[in-house]
Amino acid sequence: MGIELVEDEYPIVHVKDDVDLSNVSDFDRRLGEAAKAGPAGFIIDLTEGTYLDSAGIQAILRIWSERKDSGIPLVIVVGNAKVRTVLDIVRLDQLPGIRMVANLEEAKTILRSSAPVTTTEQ
Amino acid sequence: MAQSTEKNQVSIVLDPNLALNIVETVREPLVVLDENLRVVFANRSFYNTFKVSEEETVGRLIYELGNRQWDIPALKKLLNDILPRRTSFEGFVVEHDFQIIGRRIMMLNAREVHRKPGEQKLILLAIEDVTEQKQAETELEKYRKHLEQLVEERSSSLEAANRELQLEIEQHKQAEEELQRANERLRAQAEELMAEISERKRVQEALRIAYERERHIAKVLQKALVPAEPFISDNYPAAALYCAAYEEASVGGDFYDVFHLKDERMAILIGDVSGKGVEAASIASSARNIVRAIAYTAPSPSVAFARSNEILCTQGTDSSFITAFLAFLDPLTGRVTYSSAGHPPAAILRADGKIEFAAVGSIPLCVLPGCHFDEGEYYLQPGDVTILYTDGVTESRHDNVLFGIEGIERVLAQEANKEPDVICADLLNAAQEWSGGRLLDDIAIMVIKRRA
Repeated sequence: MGIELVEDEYPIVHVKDDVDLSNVSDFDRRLGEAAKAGPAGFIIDLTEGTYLDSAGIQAILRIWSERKDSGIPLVIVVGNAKVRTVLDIVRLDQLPGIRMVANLEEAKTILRSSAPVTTTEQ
Repeated sequence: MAQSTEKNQVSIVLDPNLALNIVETVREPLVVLDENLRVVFANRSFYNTFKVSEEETVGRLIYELGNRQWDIPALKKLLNDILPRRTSFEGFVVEHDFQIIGRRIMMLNAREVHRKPGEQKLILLAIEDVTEQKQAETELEKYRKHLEQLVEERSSSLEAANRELQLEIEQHKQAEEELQRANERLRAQAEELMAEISERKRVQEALRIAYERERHIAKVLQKALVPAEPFISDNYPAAALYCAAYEEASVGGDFYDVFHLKDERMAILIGDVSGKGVEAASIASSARNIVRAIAYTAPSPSVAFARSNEILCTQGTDSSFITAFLAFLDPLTGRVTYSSAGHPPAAILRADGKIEFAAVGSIPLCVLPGCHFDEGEYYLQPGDVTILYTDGVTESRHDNVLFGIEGIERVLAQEANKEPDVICADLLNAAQEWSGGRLLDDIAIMVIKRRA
C-alpha cells in the first residue's frame, strides 16, 4: 500500500491506495520527485489506486500546470473504474498535454513517441 | 650449712659403691671409657638397649662394640678432638643405623671424670635414645609447617576474599554513583520533557484557538455562500441545504445560488472549490459572485463559464480549482441549458420515476485560461425534478465503497412526486447513513421541481 516512485524506463508514480487529504502531500511530493527524475516524461499509474478525491486531482493539476509548456505529455494510467469516474467528471483528458491510457505499455509508447528527436550531422 | 654441703660432696666421692649403684639404676644407657676409649664399665640399660653382653663390651674399644656398630665418624671426632679440649659436651645428636636396633637418633652427653692425681682419666658417656622425641619433633615441625601453610593459605584466601570484597564495594560504590548520575540525568530529562509538554500544550491550545477562529470565519463565509431560501416561483418550488463534514473537518468551499437573469430566465448555480478552510470559502465566495455577475448578461451558461473562467484564472488561486454546474431555466418552457465545469452531473427525476443525468461536461474553472465549455440541455416537464449536488454526496464512503451516482439513483428511485425539501433531506440522510455519520466532505444539494 501507499504511493511509491518506481524507477523504470520513465519514472512511475505508483499509487496503491486512496489519495485523499490524509496523504495528498505524499502524492504531491512523489509527483515532484518524478518530474525532477524524468525530464523526458513520467507516468502516474493509478491502476491500483482505489480512490482519488479533489485534493488528488488538485495535485495532478498542479504538476500538469508546471509542465504544460514542456511539450511532453503527462500520462496517467487508469485501470480502476472508481478512479476513472472521478477523472471523467473533471474531464482531465480535455486538458492539453494530459493523456489517459489503460496500461503502462501504452503510457511508455506515448512518451517514446514524444521524445525530442536529435540528429547528428555526418 | 656450708660445712654440711662439703661433707656430702666428700662422702659421694668417697663411696664408689654408691656411684655404681646410681649408674646402674639410671634408665639411660651409660658407659665409662678410659683415656684410650676402651670400655671400663657399662650399665644394665646399655646392655639392654644395644643387645650386647658385658663380656662383649668391657675392655673393648667403643668403636669395636657390637660388630663395630659404634664406629661412627662423628662420635670419633667428638671423643678424639673435642673432648680433650672441652672436658665435656652435652646434647650431641648422632643419627646412625645400628646393626641390631636399626636407625636411631641418639643424644650423647660426655664428661671427663676427675680422679686423684696419678690415676687414669675416665670418660663418662651417657646415651639417650631420642629417636621418638626427634620423630615427634619432626612430626610436630611438619604439622607446624602444615599449620603455617594452612594459615598462610587461609590468610591468602582471606586476603583475596578481602580484595574481592573491596573491589565489590568499590564497584558497588561506582554503580551507586552512576545510578545517582543517571537519576540526575533522568530528573533533568523529565524536567525538560515536562517543560516541552507544557510548551506543546500551550502551542496546542494556541492552535486550537486559531483553528476555532478559522473555522468560525469559514462558517460565516460559508453562510454567505448560499441563499437563505432559494426561490424561483410558485411553479418551480426549490429547496436547498448545506451540510458540513463531520465536526473535526475544516469547512469546505461548496456554494449554490439561484438568481434572475436579465431576461425571464432563472440561473441555478452550484459549485465546489477544491481545498478546505477560509481560503476555499473565500475563493467560493469570489467565484459565486463572479459567475453571478457574468451570467446575468451572458447568452448561455457555457459563455458565462468561459468569461468567468478568464477572470478567475487571473486571480491566482494557488492551484485550487472550482467545479461548478450552471443552468439557465426558462420557466415558461421548462427548458434548461447547462454547462458543467468538472462538476458531478445533475440528475433529472421524471414524473414517471425515470432518472436521467445531465452528462455534458468540461474541465473545471480556474484551470486553463481561454478554454471552451460545452453545453447541454434538457426540459423539465410538469412533475419533473432536477437535482444538483456536490461531490460530498457521491464520495460519501462506506467500507471504501463510494455512494456514487448509483447511490443517487437508489434514493431517487423512491422519490417520485415528492417535494424538493423532502428529496433534499432524503438524499442527505442516505449519504450520511452511507458514511456512518462521518461525512468526509461538505455536501450541498439543491432540488427544483416543475409543478405544472
